[in-house]
Amino acid sequence: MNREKSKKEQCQVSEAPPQKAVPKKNKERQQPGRGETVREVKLCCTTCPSECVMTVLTKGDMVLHVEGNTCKRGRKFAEMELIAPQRTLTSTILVESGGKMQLLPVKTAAPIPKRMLVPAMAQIRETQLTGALTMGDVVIPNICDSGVDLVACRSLKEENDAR
Amino acid sequence: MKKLNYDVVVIGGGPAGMAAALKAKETGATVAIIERNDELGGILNQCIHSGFGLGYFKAELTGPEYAERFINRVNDADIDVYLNTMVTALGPDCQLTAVNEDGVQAFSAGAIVLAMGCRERTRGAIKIPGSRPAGVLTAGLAQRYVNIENRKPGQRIAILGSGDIGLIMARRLTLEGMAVLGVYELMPYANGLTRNIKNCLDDFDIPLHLSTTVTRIIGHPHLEAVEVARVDENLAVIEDSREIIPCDTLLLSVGLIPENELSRQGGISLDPRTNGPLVDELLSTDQSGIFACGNVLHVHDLVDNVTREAEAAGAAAAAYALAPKADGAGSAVRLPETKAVIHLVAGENVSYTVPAILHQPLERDVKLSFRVKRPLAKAQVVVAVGGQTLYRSKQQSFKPSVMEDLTLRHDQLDSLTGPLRVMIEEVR
Repeated sequence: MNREKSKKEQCQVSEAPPQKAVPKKNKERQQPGRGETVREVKLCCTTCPSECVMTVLTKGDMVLHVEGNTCKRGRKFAEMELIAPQRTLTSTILVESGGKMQLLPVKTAAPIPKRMLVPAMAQIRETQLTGALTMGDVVIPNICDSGVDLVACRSLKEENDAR
Repeated sequence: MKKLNYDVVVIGGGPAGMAAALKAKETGATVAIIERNDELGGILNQCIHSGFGLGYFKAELTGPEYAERFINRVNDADIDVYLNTMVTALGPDCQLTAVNEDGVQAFSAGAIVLAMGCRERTRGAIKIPGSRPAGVLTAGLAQRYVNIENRKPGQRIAILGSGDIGLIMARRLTLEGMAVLGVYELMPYANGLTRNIKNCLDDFDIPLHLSTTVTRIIGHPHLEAVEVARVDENLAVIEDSREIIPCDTLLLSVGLIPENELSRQGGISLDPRTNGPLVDELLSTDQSGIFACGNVLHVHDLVDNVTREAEAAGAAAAAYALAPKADGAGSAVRLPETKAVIHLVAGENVSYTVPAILHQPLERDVKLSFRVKRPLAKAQVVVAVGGQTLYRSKQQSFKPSVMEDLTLRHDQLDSLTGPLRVMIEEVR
């Protein structure tokens, strides 16, 4: 608990960039580029509830420098977010279980590219399942050829099962 | 009438109730959970989005997954679960009356944990003028329609309030093919977590209109439009900014109220700042043997914090219930009123603290939860008694949407006599 707290504090302090970092940023801006300019982007890391606000320097597809993150996941998030943003998709699927229609909550087992969210929803809407399920069961393998499975987020028993 | 005896009875089978029950069981008590729904899990069952459990399980889970992990633990733990059972009265000396299909049940407990959660503020609570058509509903109700009951609330949706459930529903309804026209927020800042603004609104180009509110509801018998208007720094409507937004659904995400009808009826004192019970460092209410945790105590933004708080309440309830047994003949009934009390005062920029009182001597360090009144870019938490500063945090930013906490060492607190003031000092 204490460790998390201190992380959070560091994160939020860093919204105002520390003085030391300024010359470093300038140096990077002065690097000779090949037509590509160095851009400064503000990003909020959504990996964990700390919500670190990061300042990211990029050139084309390259992340040159990340600051404001309080753990190494921040840099990874910044790189993914700027080049190929990914999201975990959650939705529901109709299941006929024990003669009753129910909604089963589902999620992609890992984040998928953001552009696939809408096509994945279409595939989910076309799908209907029957029978009992256990949390973690794959309900649509390799959704939209993303390489990621859609999995059940809860177990559903047949209606006439003993509780 | 059946008479059921337990060391600890937990009211509510959501995340708080399950965690409290498990901890009480682990401490050695006999435990029952009373839940009015037909399954455990509470509101988590309809929160199908992910982001739960990052703190507690170190894994990103959806609501149903977080719930099922706890439901499995409860099922394995020899805890008696009464589903479809509603507590109707909280009597003196930890006596409870409940009803279910089998009739009226009387429970006699050594200690009780209140874990009834909260409910949403409705249109009535914020008094929006206009007609009273169908199509105006709380965000959580829309969440239940879409995620559990397979119903569609409407086609063109406006959302009032930037609370987390409203933001989550903006994304969910968009993905399900509905048009979310915008989120309107009275305050000049968003109420939800930044991650939700980013992942639920920005990702789908849903506009967030700050300092804007719904001023009129139009249409009958079904909603046809809402009138929105910007407000100035005093939250007064700017007349020439009024605009009509045609829509068939208005979702309200305007705050949550701890559900304390039962607590009130049981004679428990409430804190007007949290609308939850007034508790001490053990999360004990002012009625002997009754403890509270989770959203019935104060509204949380992360379930992981609910779980941790509930574990503390469950352990304290079990210790209270088991103490007379251990000492034999019930001679050692704890009398907290004989202990010295220190009050915690919410000072500058702090809206409340939980706990609100401390009983000396303290056996362990005290975790304080609190919220700030307004966003502060750079500030420090200060805890002081008279002129003496007991605690000063590092500089950080604060938002009302984020529940903060800090831990005070018990050896610092035991010699104190005056009230403890918790405040946020802005660093300029």
